[in-house]
Amino acid sequence: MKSIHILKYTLTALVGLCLFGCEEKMVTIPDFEPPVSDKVVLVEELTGVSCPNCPAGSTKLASLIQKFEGKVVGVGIHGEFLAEPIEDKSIYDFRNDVVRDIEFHLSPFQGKPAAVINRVFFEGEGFLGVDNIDLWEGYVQQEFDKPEILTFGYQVDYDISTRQVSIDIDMFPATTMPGSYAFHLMVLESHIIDAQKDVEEIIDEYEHNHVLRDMMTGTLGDAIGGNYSPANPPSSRNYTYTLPESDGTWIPENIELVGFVTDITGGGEEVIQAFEAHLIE
Amino acid sequence: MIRFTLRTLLLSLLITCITSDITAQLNGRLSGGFQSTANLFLRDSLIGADNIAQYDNEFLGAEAWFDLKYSSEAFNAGIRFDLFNNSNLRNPNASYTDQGIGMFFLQKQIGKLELTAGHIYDQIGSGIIYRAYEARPQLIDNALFGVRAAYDISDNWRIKAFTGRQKILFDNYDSSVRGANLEGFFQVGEEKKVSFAPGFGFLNRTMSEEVMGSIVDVLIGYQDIDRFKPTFNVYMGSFYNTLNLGPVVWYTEAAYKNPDIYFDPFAELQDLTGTRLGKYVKNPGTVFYNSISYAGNGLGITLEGKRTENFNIRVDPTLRTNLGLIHFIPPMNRQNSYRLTTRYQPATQDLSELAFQADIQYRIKKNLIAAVNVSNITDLNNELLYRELYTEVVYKYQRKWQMTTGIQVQRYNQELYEVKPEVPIVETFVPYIDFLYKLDRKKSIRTEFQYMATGEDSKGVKHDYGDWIFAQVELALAPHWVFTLSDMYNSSPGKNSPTNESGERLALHYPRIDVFYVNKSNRYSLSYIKQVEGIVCTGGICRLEPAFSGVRLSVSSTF
Repeated sequence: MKSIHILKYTLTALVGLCLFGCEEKMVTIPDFEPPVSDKVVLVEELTGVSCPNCPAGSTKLASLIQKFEGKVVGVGIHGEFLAEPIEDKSIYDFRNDVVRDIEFHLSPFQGKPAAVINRVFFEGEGFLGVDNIDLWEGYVQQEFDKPEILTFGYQVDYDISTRQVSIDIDMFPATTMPGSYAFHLMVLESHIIDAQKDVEEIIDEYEHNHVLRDMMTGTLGDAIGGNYSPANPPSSRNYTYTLPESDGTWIPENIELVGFVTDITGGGEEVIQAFEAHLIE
Repeated sequence: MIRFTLRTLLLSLLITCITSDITAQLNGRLSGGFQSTANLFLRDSLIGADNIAQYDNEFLGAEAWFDLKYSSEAFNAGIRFDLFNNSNLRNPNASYTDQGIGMFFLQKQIGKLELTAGHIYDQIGSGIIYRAYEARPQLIDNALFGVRAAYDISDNWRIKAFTGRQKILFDNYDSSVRGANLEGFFQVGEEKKVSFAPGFGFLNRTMSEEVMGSIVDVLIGYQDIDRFKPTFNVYMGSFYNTLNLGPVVWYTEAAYKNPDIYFDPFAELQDLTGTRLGKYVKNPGTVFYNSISYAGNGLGITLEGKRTENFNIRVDPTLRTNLGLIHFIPPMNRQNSYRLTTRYQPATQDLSELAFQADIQYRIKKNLIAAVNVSNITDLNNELLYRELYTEVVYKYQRKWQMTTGIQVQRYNQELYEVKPEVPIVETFVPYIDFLYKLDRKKSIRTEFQYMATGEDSKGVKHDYGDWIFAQVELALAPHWVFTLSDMYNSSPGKNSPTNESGERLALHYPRIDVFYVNKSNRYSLSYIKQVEGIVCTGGICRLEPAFSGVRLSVSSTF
């Protein structure tokens, strides 16, 4: 009985102490501050037209592109998982061997949507693709904190009659780059109206943006050597590509070219800089 | 490195203690178990068993757990080695390889005080505010890595307190957890036919700075309308009691948590470019659970009810699926065992659920038992999530044969449970029969037959995968051998059944062959399996399992 009384008084004292002393100091949320860096961050969204949660991811990606204007480049990868066209609804099939290869290269991932941000494996994440949409912005912010290593200059020419695209790219190192690097050039298309599964319905006329259609380099990029220095002339490259005939897609006004350089030193693949260009501005 | 050194030190201590104790005392007892599964993955793109590393280039995978427990008057100790090799348990769409010490603990009784350190599995009440447990089919192992002290205050009261961090595979989450509970037991009346077993529980989780940093990063991305002020701590309390009144047992539990952060997949978020579903919110939560049962005169009745609101508590609110859950909310539907009756199972909803269940069993004669189970689960807006009627009749004829038969009728909200838009509530009707015939004292043959008829949508297309037929023959040669042969046939394919290149739905077979060999407490099995995509649940915690095609070798042993 004596023990019960001791316990009773101890618990009362603890509750009393907590009531008066355990009030938690509130955490304040700082206001958004645009990054001062000139880095451009690549967000590759693993998505699919048969993925009901993916419209939420695409909305978030669009918000990031708008919020970090000119400093976030988005790519929608409709590889294989949940990317099969919707029966009786879909007009187009965004899957092809190139996109499948890219998705496989970025896998495994927990589920879709998932964002691969600058191809960085973030601490605490189980996979390269971050499947918690709400964490994407924080990771993008983290990438802006990294030093700027490289800037791009580019010139795009498009011949309407032949549908041929030509792009000249100059790479200007901001610092010495002693490692090994690869250059990647993707062909994307926006404003494609087609079906998309959503959580509660199938949206017949969903606007698909930044859909990866093809690559002008290899899927793992083209090796561009290393040992770059600001003291040397810029490294230049030229690529050409002929747009396929339009089937309702492949509209030149909607085509975007996304280029980026990855640091492949020691088997890594972190994106150090990216850019986005349009065929017709 | 520090963590490794600490673990090595503890293990050395454990081994030293065990060996020295064995030599010092002969009354100690060593027990344990070994469980292992090895899979050979054989790609079958028709059923969807493809496009993951195991089917594309790894082909072989395995999981293993080896437990050792030592008990003596002086102390108790345990250790477990876990191995995952090209395993798809962690993520059914990916490959996972790692191995190491999955669990260890030391426990010492000093008078009325019991002290435990290491990985601790425990729960408060039925687990509604706290449960640390292991469920291997889904790779849930959320032991608390920490310390626990329990003290017997009197013959009727016991108090315990614990603190630590939740385990994740071979590491621990950063956030910390602490809790306490007080449990009692009283008998009243001269014949002591009435008893109470009251309990009080308390739990607190403190988010780490890193987790709070992630939450702040999330909230920076929200518009003002969706922002809130996050807090590091959540406090939860529960009261529970088991009342025994002769043949009547009444268990009740009520739990409350103060406003805490969780992800609500149905809440609308205002983003810069539009709205999207799913956002973090901060709300208080409650669970009320009651179970009353009666057993006597051949009759058994259990009635259960549960109401859950905003009760999702994790060590890290940014985690999803089954990761980082601190608690466990009991399921409210029958835990079935036949192949087709387990195809659709409702996962416990921790944000909004109102559930009732009635289970009645009656022994009509010594050799004839009838049972009925009814469950109904809705959300708090009265939208139907799951409904089931299950009947069972068991008849035994002398010692020669036994028949189990019945029906199951289900309504399953596939749109909610599997996030499949614009799919109707899946309607099923499953008659089943299980017939066991003893050929002689050692040989028996058992057959199962089940048929699942599904409903049709407005276009006349069958729900989900459509209709199924399942048949199984099992030959048992006691005491060692069991052979089974079964097939699950998609007799009338539905909307989600696999299709060929021309879009025609395919009526596929999913055969399975098993050979089991049992020798004392060792069990071996070799199986050839083609398994359709489905839901795997353990106690209301479910996950979608992709199709499987391959050969599986299993070994389990206890000693």
